[in-house]
Amino acid sequence: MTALGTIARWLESLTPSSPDDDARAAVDELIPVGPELGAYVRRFCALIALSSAIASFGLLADSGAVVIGAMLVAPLMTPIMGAAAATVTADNRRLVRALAIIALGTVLAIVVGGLMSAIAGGTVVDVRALPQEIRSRTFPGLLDLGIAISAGAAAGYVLPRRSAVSALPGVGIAVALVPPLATVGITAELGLSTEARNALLLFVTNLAAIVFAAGIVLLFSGFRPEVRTSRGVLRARLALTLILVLLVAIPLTLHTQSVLSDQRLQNAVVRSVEAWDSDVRIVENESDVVGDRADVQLLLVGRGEPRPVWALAEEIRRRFGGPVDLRVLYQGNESFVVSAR
Amino acid sequence: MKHVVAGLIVSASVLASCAGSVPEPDSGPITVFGPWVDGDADAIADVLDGFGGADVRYTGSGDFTTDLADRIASGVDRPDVAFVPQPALIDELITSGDLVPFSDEVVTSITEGFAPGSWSRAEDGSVYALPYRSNVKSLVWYRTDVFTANGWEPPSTLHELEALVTEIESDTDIAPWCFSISAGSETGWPATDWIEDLVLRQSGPDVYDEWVTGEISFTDRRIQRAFETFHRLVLSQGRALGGRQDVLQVEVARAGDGLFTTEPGCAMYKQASFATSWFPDGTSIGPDGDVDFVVLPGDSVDDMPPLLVAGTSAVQLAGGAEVDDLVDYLASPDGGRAWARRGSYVSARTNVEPDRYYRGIEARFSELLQTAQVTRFDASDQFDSSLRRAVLGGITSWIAGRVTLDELLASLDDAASG
Repeated sequence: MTALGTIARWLESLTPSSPDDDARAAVDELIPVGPELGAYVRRFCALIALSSAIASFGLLADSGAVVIGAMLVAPLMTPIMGAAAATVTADNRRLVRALAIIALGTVLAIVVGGLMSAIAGGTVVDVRALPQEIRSRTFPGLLDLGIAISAGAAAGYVLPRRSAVSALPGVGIAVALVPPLATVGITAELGLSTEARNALLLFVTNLAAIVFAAGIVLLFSGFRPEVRTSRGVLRARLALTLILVLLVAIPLTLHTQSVLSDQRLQNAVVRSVEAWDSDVRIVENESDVVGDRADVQLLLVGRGEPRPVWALAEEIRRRFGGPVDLRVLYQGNESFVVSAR
Repeated sequence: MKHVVAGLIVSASVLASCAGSVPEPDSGPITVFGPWVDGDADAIADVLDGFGGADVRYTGSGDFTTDLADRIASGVDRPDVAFVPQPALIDELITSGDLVPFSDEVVTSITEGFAPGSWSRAEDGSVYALPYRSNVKSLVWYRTDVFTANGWEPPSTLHELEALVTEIESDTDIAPWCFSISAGSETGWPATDWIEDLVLRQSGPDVYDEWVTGEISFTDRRIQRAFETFHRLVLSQGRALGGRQDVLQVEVARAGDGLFTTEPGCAMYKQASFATSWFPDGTSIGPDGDVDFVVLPGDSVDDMPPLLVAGTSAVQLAGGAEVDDLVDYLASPDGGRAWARRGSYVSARTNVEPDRYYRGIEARFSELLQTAQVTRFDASDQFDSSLRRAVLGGITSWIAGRVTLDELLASLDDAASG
């Protein structure tokens, strides 16, 4: 906390000038107050529902272009930026309002995703049968955190500068808030609870990282609590968002390690096959590290009879450095099962 | 396949004899080769981790028999220890000089720690095989609530079994037997188990042994009688759930499913001890449980029924103190307890306490192995591989109605003599 306070004081010292009225207005207009709020919420809900429906169909159809379209329709960025601004200005009313709208949008997007999946999703039992657009959102890693922090910082920079507002759609695409929520709805409806949890983790990552990074940049742009005594509250809130970012970073780090160890295994498998029988070619390589064990499934083709498959399993074990379960389908009709411990 | 395997083994033995003797292990880890993969490979790796001596590496292959011959023939990839599920292959390896006789310490551990009928000495007086893990084949499973509700008693003689089968068939809509034989290239093995059990009961262990070694033909009246009894008891119209179509098409591991439906489709299920892993999760076993078993009864109520068993034996392909120590560890109580505590382990060990087994039922199976007066190893695992294929294929054709019993038995005699 003390360190964060030091950072906040250092940032304050770096930003001698306060934001101008135009910049303040741009931030204040994010979520309207008074009688306009009702119309804003209705419009927000309609856009969230439509955006989630577009995203869901795009995800199920495995169409990246359609999913990007959904990101441009999605209005979630506005209340999230509102939350970031309210955090640095210590404006409690605006913060509560922004968080309530984010919660409403989150639930609505998940429900719509689930509904669309029930209508069009069919039955998917095996995770590997999911479209790639969905699978790519069910295993977030540290790269996703990096994207969200950079995009959050960009959003914080663009927000008070009306001249740079054309960059906002790019920010929305970069962090993609609605597609992860639609993925939560789709995978939950299909009964894939782990995938649903991971997609939600991706959304929370984006949410926490954007609020934190945008908050820091807004602070850098001169936004402050109007009352001096509220500055302690500012530090506490920034600390809270930082803690949230660090918390999501833990599973993301584990995921990233898992991806890296899967890649290491894939490389070990490719090199082992080359060393085992140079006449054999890999058609498909499904290699996963499960716990400390390598689970390797290979579709191989080659000339004539292959060398004994137990020798391949021992070669993979030697290069991977742990136990191996190997399943090989050779020439599409000969199957071999070997375990090396 | 059989000829290829035998040829490779003979070639390997020639190479070995040129070198002077079975090779001593090099300074690397002790290599162990077996048929166990996946979860069973984890179990044996866990057992081998408990060996306090040198580093040990286990590799398991689904094509174990072919791969073992390949490794022996190569000369350089020869494992130090192998787990072999076929006694016929062990005999061939003894004949070809590829096996190292166990050290005196190992023989003492086996003598002191295993039921007398579970191991044997070779003709030269040495011991080459350690019966590491076993299965009990002669079990008849039944639902306790169904038997109680219908007032049925588990039979104590083959005659009572036939009477019970007739009663079940005439008095209820339940088929007397859950039975199927579909198992890929091994299709037919549950039928061979039935016939082997009947030969053992109706004609005794001596006839069984003579049949296994080829001294008695398949067309011998006593062997033919077992086929006829099996046909009458299990294959006749209305005896097996789903009729011949299901017998031929349902996977062996699904054959017992009819026992567990709310309204049971079949009343009894003859299958080995490993069938417990095919039962629905949470199935309790015992007189007060969901299911219980009896050993397929013998001809007379006074006789303790004989047990048909199968299993995997450890053999030593390399000499040296470290390999001797590893095999001695496998023969020791700790070598058994290490797998027993993980589950799915049954053995004829007399010095592993019942509470060391993961489940009470495994201790019960192990006790059966220790107390049975007559045990015989699965005959089809003792036939050479070409006869084994002929038996499995022939019995399947007979059940499908493509050949008569006389044609089947004559063809099996041809296969045995060829």
